[in-house]
Amino acid sequence: MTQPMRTGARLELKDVTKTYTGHGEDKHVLDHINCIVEPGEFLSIVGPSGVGKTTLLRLLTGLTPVTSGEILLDGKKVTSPPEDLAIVLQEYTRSLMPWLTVEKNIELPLKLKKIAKDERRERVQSAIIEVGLEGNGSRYPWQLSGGMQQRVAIARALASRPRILVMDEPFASVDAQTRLDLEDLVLKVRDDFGITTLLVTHDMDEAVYLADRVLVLTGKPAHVAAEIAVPLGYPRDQVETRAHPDFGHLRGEIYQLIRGKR
Amino acid sequence: MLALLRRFLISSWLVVVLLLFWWKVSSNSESYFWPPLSQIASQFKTNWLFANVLEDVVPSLKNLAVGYFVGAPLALIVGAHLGLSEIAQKIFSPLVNFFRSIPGVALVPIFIMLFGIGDQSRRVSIAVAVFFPTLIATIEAVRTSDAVLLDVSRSFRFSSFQSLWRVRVPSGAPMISSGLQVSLQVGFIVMIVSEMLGAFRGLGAFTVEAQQSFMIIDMWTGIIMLGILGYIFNVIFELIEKRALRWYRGQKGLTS
Repeated sequence: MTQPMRTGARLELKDVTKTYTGHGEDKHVLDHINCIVEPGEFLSIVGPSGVGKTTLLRLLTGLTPVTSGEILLDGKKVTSPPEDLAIVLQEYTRSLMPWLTVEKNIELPLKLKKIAKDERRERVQSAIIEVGLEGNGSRYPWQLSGGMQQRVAIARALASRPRILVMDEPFASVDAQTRLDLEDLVLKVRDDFGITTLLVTHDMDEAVYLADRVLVLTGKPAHVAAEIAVPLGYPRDQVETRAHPDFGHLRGEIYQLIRGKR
Repeated sequence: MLALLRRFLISSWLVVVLLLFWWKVSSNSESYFWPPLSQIASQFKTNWLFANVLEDVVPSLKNLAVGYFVGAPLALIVGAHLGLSEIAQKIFSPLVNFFRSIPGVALVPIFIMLFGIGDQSRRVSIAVAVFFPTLIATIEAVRTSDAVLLDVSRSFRFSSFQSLWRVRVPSGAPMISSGLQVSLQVGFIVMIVSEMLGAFRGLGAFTVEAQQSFMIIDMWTGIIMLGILGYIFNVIFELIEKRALRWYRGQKGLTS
């Protein structure tokens, strides 16, 4: 990659609380969430299904407003989707534009930001190479497998040169083999660009395998049950890392937290 | 090439059989109202290949084109914006539902009063009639855009104008397209009927005049000409649609 290395953004959650009102009863989903994600760090957010992981993601991407507390990205309060942030969602079939080719999908956000044509072309090409989709630029998303579609979504996110990448269960709908490939792709992307990366997942193995740190959410309303550092070092390897005794311990610890406090 | 021929044969054999049947059954007909098809055919040749085309067909089509290309794009623009705003929808929906319930052809007399019996009143009638099917389809298409796609648009900070024209409208294109097709059909009907009411020329005027002066064979040729034109329009529309919405058919796994 010819792009210059970028530094990641710093994310800070201060007493973030979310209550959905209306439709009868108020629903208190998140309760005083505090967390700091350092520039370039990889943080996984895990918790039982329905705990409010996706809600937290919507808050910190600025898609949904917080009820109280603050979310700061590089010290700036997040009130709408910030410039330096890009997202990858679980539903790749719904998050790509089916009427645009792979290239045009990746290009669209750049085009609407009025980035010059030459630079757009260059960014699109390098993003395609980064995610390993060479030769597929003029195909349509629906002509690709699920894993490849998710690569397109990642390429689109990267082309806008974010300093923080936020992913919501990005590999939940692809087959197991593809999943491992995509996990390693995400690690490579983080390495190549040094971007801060947040991953919401219900898969404890995945959370540990990828992250520097795992944030465990439990309870109703959800609160931070634990922040667990993952001292496994990088690069990680699908076979060796997962076979490491510490991996098993960490996984066990998280499992207990999620099961125990349900 | 062979496949194309096959497709042509499959879709046209029934028409050929029915025409032959009509030809045979009517060949000795002495009924004034059901003349032999052979007579209609030869009169068709005199009337429409291509003697009166410039005089009677071209003006009709011009009116349709003007009405359609004013009414439909306007409906697209208005519908797209109405689709965005729930309040605007609530305010305008009684109005829209009232006017859409009036058959387009029923508006023709009003516009004749307002704009005279010239082409202008016909063009306005067509534009107004064409407006509603596209409007309603566009409102619905924009209103029901996929929430995930809209989240993505927001996360990339598309302005609401950008997300309307770059995301909502294209993703609703299949629905909008059916609206445009209904609009075309309605426009065609109003084109003919508006000429039947007090026009001096045009296909509708020709046909109704032939009927009123008991030139039954001429009347038949007018009707057949209308059928052919309507058919051609639909074919052209579907060809364009097929090309423009290739992604939609591909996504749904449709092969043709």
